[in-house]
Amino acid sequence: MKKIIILLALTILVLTSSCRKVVEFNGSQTDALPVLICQATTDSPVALRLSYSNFFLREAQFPVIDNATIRADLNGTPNAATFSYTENGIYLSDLTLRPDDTLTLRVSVPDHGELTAGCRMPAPPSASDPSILSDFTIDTFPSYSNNRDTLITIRESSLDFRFTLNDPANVDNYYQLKAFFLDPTDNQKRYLSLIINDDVLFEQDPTGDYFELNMQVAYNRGSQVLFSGDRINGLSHVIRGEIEDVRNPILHRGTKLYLEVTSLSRDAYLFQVTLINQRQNGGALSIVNEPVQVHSNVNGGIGILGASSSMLVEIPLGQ
Amino acid sequence: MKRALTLFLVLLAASVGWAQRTQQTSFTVTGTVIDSRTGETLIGATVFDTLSHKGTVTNQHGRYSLTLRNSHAVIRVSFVGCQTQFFDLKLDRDHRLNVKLNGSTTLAEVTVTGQRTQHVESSQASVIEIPVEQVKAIPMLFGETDVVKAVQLLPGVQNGSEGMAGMYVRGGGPDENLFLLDGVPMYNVNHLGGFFSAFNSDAVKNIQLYKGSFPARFGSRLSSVLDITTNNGNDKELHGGIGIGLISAKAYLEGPIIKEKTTFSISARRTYGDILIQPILAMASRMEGLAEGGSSSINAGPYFYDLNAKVTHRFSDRSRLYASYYMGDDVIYARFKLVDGYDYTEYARLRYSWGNIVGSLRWNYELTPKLFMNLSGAFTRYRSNLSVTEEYINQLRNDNYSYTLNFNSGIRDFLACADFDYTPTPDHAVKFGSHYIFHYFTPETFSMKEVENETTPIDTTIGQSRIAAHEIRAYAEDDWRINDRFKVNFGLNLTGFGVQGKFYPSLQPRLSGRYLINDRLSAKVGYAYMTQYLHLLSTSSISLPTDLWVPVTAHITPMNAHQVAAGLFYNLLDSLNLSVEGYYKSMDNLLEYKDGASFWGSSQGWENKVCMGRGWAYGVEFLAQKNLGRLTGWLGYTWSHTYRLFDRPGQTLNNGKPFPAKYDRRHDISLVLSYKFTERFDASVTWVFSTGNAATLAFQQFNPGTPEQINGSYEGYYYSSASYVSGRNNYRMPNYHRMDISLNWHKPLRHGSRTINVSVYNVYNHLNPYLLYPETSWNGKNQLTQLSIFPIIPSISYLWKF
Repeated sequence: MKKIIILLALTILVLTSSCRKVVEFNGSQTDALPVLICQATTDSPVALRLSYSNFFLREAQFPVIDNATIRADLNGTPNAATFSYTENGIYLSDLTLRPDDTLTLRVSVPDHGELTAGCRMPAPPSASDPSILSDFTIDTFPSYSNNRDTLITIRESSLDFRFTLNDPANVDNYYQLKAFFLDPTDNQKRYLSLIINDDVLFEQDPTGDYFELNMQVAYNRGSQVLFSGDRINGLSHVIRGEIEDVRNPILHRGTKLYLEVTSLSRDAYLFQVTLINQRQNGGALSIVNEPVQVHSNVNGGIGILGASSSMLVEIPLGQ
Repeated sequence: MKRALTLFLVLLAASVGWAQRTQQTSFTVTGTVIDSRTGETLIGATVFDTLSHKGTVTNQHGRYSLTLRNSHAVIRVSFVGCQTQFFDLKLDRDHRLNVKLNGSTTLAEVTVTGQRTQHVESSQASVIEIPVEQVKAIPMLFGETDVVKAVQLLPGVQNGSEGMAGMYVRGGGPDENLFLLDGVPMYNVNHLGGFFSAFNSDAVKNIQLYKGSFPARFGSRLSSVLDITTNNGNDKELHGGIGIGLISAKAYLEGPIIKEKTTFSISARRTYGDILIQPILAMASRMEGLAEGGSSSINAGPYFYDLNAKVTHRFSDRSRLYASYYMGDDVIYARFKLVDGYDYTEYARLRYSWGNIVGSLRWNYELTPKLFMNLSGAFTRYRSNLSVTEEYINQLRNDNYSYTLNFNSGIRDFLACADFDYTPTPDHAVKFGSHYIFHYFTPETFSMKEVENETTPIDTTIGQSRIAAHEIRAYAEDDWRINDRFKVNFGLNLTGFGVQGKFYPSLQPRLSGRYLINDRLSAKVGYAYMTQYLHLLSTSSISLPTDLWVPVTAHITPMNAHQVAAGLFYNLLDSLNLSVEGYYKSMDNLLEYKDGASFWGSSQGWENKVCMGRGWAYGVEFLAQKNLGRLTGWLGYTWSHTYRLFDRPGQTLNNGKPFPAKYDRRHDISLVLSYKFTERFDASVTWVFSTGNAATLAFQQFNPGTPEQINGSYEGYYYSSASYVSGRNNYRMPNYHRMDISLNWHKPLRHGSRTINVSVYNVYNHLNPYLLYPETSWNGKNQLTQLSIFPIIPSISYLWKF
C-alpha cells in the first residue's frame, strides 16, 4: 500500500512539473531602449540621466549613455542651455527653471534616433498656519516580539499637528508630501516614512472641518505621499497629521520637524504614482492584480521629464 | 424614445389587427407534443399543415397553436429522432391535438438541430440549438460531459484560459452571458474555478444559444443567452442511472409520482478527489509530526457537488405546474494542526467556498386556444466566502493568539414574471410579458478578528456591505411571416433599473429578418440594442471565483451594446447545414480594474478600483453541420477582432490608447465528430485550435533613479529598477490546440444497460499555455516560462442505466 501511495505521489509530482516549460519569446521588442530621467526643480540647475533599458530575458544591467547630444528649448527659445556629461550617465546644465517655464528636451542618442520630452514648471504650493493640536507624549506598554514568545517594551510617542494647504481653483495640481527632521547629532536631514491607506489619502472628518492624513514614522526610511489636487480643488483644507513613533522614538521636544510640500507637474506625479503602484503590486505583473504600466512622457524612449517646486513648513515641536 | 415606442406599438397593433381581420372564419388546432417514451415535452417540434403550407413549432413548454382558415387540414408533426405522424382533421371547430411521438430506429443518430426548416427558414440568425445527446457524446475533461464546454466549441464562442468554463461570445466578457436554468438566471456557472460548469447534463433536456439577434423577451446581458431547460421526468415508469468516473460520481432518478400526471426528476453529482488524496495527506502528516517531535494532522482537498430536482404536475391539458430546484457548491479546504513536543499547538484553517441556489415555481395555463400564459416566481442566490484562521496556543504559559480573516461576496435575486404567447394566425407568433426582479448585492465585505489572551478582541469590518436594486422589464415581439420569402422578428424591450436613488431606463429595439432566396438558401440580418445593469469584476490575468458581481450605482452607469449581424444559410442535400455570418458589435460603459487593483480590498470600495470605457468587436463565422447518417458533427471557424479603449479623464488604461482584449483571438477552429459504428459502440473526436490569447509582459527593465538618487545626494529610499510595460495585452501567447477522443461501449443487461466510456483529453499531450511569466533558472539565466494545466489525461467511467 505504501508503495502505491508513493508511486501515486511521484506520478502527480511528475505530471505537475511536466506542465512547466521554457518557451521562446516570439515578440519583436527585444532591443534596449534609451531611458531619460529628469526631475527639474526650482532650486537647482536641470540635471538628467541617460541610460539603456534591458530586455527582460537578458541579465539585468543598465549601461549608461555617455555620448548623447542634448538640446533644450526654454519657453520656445531654442538652445537655451548647455549640458555637460559628468559620470554615471548624468548630464548637468546651466539652466534653472522658474515657475511657469516650459522646457523641451531633444536628445540624440547614437544608433537610436532622437528622444523628445516636455514639461512645465508648476507654481510652488501655498501652505501655511502650522500648529500643534496636542502635547507631545511618550507612552510605554508591553507587547510580544515578532515570533510571539518574548515580552518587550514598546515606546510610542505621538503628536497631532495641522497646517493649511491652499489649492488654486480651475488648475490641475498634483502634490507630494515628505517629512524630515534635522538630526541634532550631525544636522543632516532624516526623511521619515509616510504610510497611508492606499489611494484614500484623506478621510474627511464627520464634522467636515478637515481632512485627516495619518503619517506613521519609520526610522531610516524615507517615502512620500502623493495626491492630486482634485480632491481639494480650489479650496483651503486643513491637513492634520498624527505622528506615531513606534518602538524606537526619535522625535522629542526641540527636534526640528519639517514638512516638504511640493507641487509636481502632471507627468512627474503620474510617473511616481505608477512606480510606487508597480512596486506594491510585486512587480509589473501579478496573478491577482492588474498589470501596472509606469508612466512615460518620453517620445522615442522610456522615462520622465518632470518638474516640481517646493516649500517647507516647520512643525514646531516646542522645547 | 417616446416616438420609437409609439411607432412600435402602432406597428404591432396594425400587424396583429390585420391578422385578426383575415382569420374570422378560421379555427385553431392546439396541443402539446411529447415524447411517448418518456413523457417529456418536445421543444421545437414542427407542426405543419401540408394543405395550406402553414406551420409552427412548439414553444418552451412543448405547446403549439396553429390557426387555419381552410376547412380541412393534414397536420404533420415531426421532431428529429422521432417518427413523423400525420393527422387528418376536419376544421369545423377548434381542435385539441396532443401528440405523442415515438422514437425512430432509423434516425436514432444524434444531431445538431440544423434541420432545413429551422436552419434556413427561421427569422433569426445567430441562434444554435444543441440536443443534449450531442453534448453527452463530446469528450471532455476527466470523461465528464459538460454543457458549457460543448457550447464553447461553436463558432463565435470562446473559452477562457485552459480548462475554464467562462464564455466569451463575439468579443464580450464572461459576465455578458445570461445563463437561464428553466428561465431563472444563474450567476456563476463554474465548478472548481471553471474546469466544469454547474449544469449536469443528466438533468438537461434542451440547450439553445443566442449569440445575437436577441428576441425582445431577453435582456440584461450584452453578448449571449444560453437558455437551458431541464427534464420534467418520465411520466410512465421509473428510470435512473448511476455513474462513476475518475474524479466524480453521479446519479439520477426520474419517474411518475402519479402516472401521466405528476412526475419528478432528480440528479446529483459529487467529486471525490479530496477523499482520494487523504492517504497521501496522512503520510505527510506523520512525517511533519515526527520532524517536530510531536504530532500533526493535515486535511485538505477540493470538491464540488450539485443537485437538480424538479416536480411537474399536469392539472389538465391546459394547466401545468413546475417546481424546480438547483443547489451547487464548490469547496476548497485545508486544515492543519501541529503539536510539538513542548506544549505548543498551532492550528490553521482555510476554507474557500462558492455556490448557487436556484428555485422556481411556474404555472402554465392556456387562457384561450390562441393565448398561452406562463406565470413564475423564482429565487436565485450566488455567494462566495473565503475564510482563513490561525491559532497559536502555548499551554505552558497559558498563552494564546488567534486571528480570522473573512471575505464575502454575493448576490440574491427574487423574481416575478408573467409571459404570454399569442398566436392569432400561423403568420404571427406574438410574445409579450413583464418581469420584476429585486436584486440584493453584497459586493465585498472584509472582516478581521484578532484575539490575544484575555485582551479585548479586535473586530473590524470594511468594505461595501449591501446594495438593493429593482429591475422591471416589459417586452413585446412578433415573429411575422410577411410572405413566402420574407419573415421578420421585431420587438421592443423596455427595462428600468433603480438603485441608490437613481433610475436607469432603457428602450431596446430588436429586429431580425430573413429573405428566402430559394427553399435551401436564405439571407438573414439582425440588429439588437442591449443594456446590462450588472458587472463582473475579474482580474485580467486569470478568472477566479473571487470575481465580484456588482450592480450599476449612482456613479457606475449601465453597459450597453449595439450589434448588427448578417449571414447566408444554406442546406446541402438535406444533411449538411452551411452558414457564414458576419457581425459588428460596439459596447460602452465597460468596466475594468485599474492598474494594480484587485479584489483584495483596502478601505476603499470596488467603485474606486475600476475604470469605465468602451469596446468593439467584429468578425466572421463559418459553420458546417452534418446532422444525418452515422457520422454527425460540425466544423466551425471564426475570424475575429476585439478591442478595448479606456480614455475617460481619471479612468485611463494603457495611456488612453486602444488595446486588444485578453481573449482577442484571431483564428478559432473547432471540429467535432461522432461516429456510430454499431448499436453497441460509438466514438467521438474533438479537435480545437486557436491563436494565442493576449497577455501583458514587461519587455524592458530600466533604472528609474534620478541624478540626485544616483549621485547620492538624495536622502531616502528609491527604486533601482522598474519594469516597462509598453501596453496592455501587448504579447500573444503560443497557439492553443488539442485533440480529445471518447469511446463508448454499450451493453444491455438483465436490468437496464451499462456503458463503459474511455476517453483521453489532450491525446497528443500538447502543453497549452495557461500562464506566462519570467523567472530565473537554477543557473541564473532569465527565461520565459509557460505554465500549463492539463497534459494528456485518460479517464474511464462506468454508467449503469435502468
